[in-house]
Amino acid sequence: MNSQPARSLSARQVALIIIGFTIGAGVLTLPSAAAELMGATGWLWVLVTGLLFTGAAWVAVKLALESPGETLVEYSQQLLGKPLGILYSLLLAAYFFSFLPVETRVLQELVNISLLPIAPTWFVSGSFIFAMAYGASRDIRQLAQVNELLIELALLTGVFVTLLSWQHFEPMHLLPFLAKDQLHLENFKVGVGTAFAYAGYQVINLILPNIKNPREATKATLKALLTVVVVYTFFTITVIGVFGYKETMAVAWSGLELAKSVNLEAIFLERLDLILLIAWLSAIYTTGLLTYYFGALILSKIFHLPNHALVVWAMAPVIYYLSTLLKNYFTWNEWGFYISLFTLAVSFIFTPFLYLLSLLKKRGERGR
Amino acid sequence: MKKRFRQPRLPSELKKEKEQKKKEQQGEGPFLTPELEENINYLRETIGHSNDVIFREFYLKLDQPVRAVLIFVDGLVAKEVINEYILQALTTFNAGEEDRWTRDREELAKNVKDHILHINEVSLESDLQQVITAILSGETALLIDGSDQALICNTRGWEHRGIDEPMTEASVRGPRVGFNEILRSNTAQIRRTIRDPDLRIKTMKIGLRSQTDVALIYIASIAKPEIVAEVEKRLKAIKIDGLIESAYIQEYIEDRPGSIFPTLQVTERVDRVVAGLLEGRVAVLTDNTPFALLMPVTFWQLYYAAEDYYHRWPLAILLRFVRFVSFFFSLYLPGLFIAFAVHNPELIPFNLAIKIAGTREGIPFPVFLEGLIMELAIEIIREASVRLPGPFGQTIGIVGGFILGDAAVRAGLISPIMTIVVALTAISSFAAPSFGVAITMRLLRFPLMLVAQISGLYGLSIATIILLIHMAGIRSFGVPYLSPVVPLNLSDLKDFMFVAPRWAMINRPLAYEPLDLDRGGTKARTWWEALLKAPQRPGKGRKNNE
Repeated sequence: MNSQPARSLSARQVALIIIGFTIGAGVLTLPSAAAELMGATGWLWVLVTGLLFTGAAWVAVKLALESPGETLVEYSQQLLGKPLGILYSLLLAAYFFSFLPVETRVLQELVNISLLPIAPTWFVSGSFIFAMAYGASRDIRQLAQVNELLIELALLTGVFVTLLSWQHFEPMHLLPFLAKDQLHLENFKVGVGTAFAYAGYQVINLILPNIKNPREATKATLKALLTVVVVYTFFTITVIGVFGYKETMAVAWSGLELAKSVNLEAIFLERLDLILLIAWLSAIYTTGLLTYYFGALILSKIFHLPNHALVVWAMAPVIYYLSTLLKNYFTWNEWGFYISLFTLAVSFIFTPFLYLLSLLKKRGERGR
Repeated sequence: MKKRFRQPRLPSELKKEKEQKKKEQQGEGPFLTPELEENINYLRETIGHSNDVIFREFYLKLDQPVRAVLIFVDGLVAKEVINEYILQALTTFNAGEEDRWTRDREELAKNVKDHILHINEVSLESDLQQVITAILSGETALLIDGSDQALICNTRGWEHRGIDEPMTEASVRGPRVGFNEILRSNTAQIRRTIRDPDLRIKTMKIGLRSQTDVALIYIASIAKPEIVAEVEKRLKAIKIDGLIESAYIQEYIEDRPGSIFPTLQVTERVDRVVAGLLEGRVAVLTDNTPFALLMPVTFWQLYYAAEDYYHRWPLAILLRFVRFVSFFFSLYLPGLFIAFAVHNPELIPFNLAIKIAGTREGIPFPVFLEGLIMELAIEIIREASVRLPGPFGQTIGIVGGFILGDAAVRAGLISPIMTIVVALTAISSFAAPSFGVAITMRLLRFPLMLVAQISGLYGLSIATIILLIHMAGIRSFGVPYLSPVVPLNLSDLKDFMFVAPRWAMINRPLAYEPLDLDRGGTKARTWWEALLKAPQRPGKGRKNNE
């Protein structure tokens, strides 16, 4: 458990890790945010921001490939100097860990809404954090396998339910295209908040030493991001197409509402939303699992701990405590806003800056 | 070992003695001496206390009469072989003038073997400990005065069960032979099926007291050498005094001794072992038990029956499907029922929910307890019917299952739907072709029921995720347990839910990383290619096998 099995992940697994990390709590609220921003054309927002993040991911891979045998924790110290590098790694670890309370709270909320109305908060949050910690304390090979299975199941179920809901699809709902009165791009907070749904490709800077063939990393990352963009866009189109943008803005968990709208006759299950919820539970679990693991990995690397599992179990009560701080939808939305802000900063400022530094350093070395 | 008194010796003998001492210090020996009397005394001292060990002394008529002794265990040897081919040959031998070798005392044992004995498998042995082990395994030792080597003649022959249809893994189609308790006969059955010079059978003795023969079997040009070496290493590391069943070995060499999942395949079917060897796996056969161990194994493989490969592929796919459904049922059905009934009745169609609620009317127990009582009852019935002799067992099954269940429902203690669920679960768990994995499912069912009672579908999902993490961490001799699903291996999926026709199984499973991937007769069916390709000119094309 303590040794990192080097170079054991296939490109496919890496792509799925990125997908599993990215698709999580954000997806259910993404359509409403998009509808708020651009009305009936909300899907365009999702698509364009998605492509921007794909570009950012490309830069991140480039940076990672500059030193394929090391993780960000090591080369940020080389590029920025030791104190700044450590500070950046710490920030990144905090960033990863900040996902967990949000994910836990969102999950707890949804479980309480639909699956287990009577269950106490501590039970749902506690068991979820335990399950995440149990998984995150294992090695990356094991995580990759679990993630592979869960995210595939989640995606298939999600896409299946989304397709089923096309029975209520109204193409007219997607019109008018870019109507001026529907554009509310000045809604800064909501706009930044959508970045939350795209956070995740940063793991490529941590996972590269474990990939069997590092050269495939670029392709895998881009594939993963494009998959995410396609899924998100498709989902947003469906939600807006089914509900119309006004209703989309109004519903909190658009995905669940979508599943509820599906009518299935003569099938064993009466309602599909719970099935979707379970699929989504595995998606949110993979996000939590991976953020947890990578956060712990960064910390254990900074402090030269022999075993990241120690960090994992030590962090569990902290995460639980933080999750209790998020009292309601508004507080975790606030929290989500700051995570999004940091996501933007990492994607479009820090990572490109680091990449530039590494290029300059390389040129300097060549000049010598 | 106590040092024995020795008479003064020639320098050459002293040298020999030195070597012996050296060997003794390395943990071997003691060794035979040229003095017959001394050897006999030693053997009488060690194994002569039991009266089934027979010492038959006689004289060999060489150039002068030489004393010799046959030692064997009554009951483990074929007596007629000893009488006719050893004793008769030795006692009736009369050295003539031309037999000059009779005067060569140094090489006496070897010469007797070469000139007199009518036995096909004879070896020379000078280590007394080895001689004793040989005698106790049913071989006959011949000790001749003046020779410091014993002749070990294979005279094994004892009462044993014949080759029978495997009891635990019956099949409709396929060979009706299983292993029996004789290692040699079992390895012979494997040899009879694969006539490949690369088939290796390495035998070792495990068990300080039982000295049980254990055979490590693999095909050298297919099996990954690392796996073979690993198995051998783990076998050699076993320290145990008595090895009675292969389960002992299993517990010593399995990857995850703490896990509830078996990481070795246990089978008594010859064809299964052979198929496993051809896939690049390694088999371990143990003397005195018909149960062979096959490794590595993936979780799904435990749900494959030998029969799947003997039916045509459409039926094979159906069988696999049924078995995967039964796997799901045997693990989740009671848990799901409890989760739906207790927490989310709104999930099931309205009419069904009404039915369930209606039948539960007046049941004095909560659903979980109801399920637990029924599951326990089934377990007890199952255990009882295994212990009872054949016809009684069936009776218990009928009385227990049918009458008890019916009465419980009529008395209003148990709801009929719960009876259906429990019965379906029990039947499903019998559909697993591997006993080991069926037990795992039986054991896991109870916690899952409890989880479902407490936290419904959410709890079941979390429990499933934790199970998955655990399973993803298991490796059977380096092979991921959940392969080929995760890590995904498209090529190996041809033998998963979907069973490809035999001629389309071009490669051996990649999961075991065989040295030779190609199954050989790959393109046996050329008609499909013929459909796609322009006809080839005669003489240039590949030979058509059909």
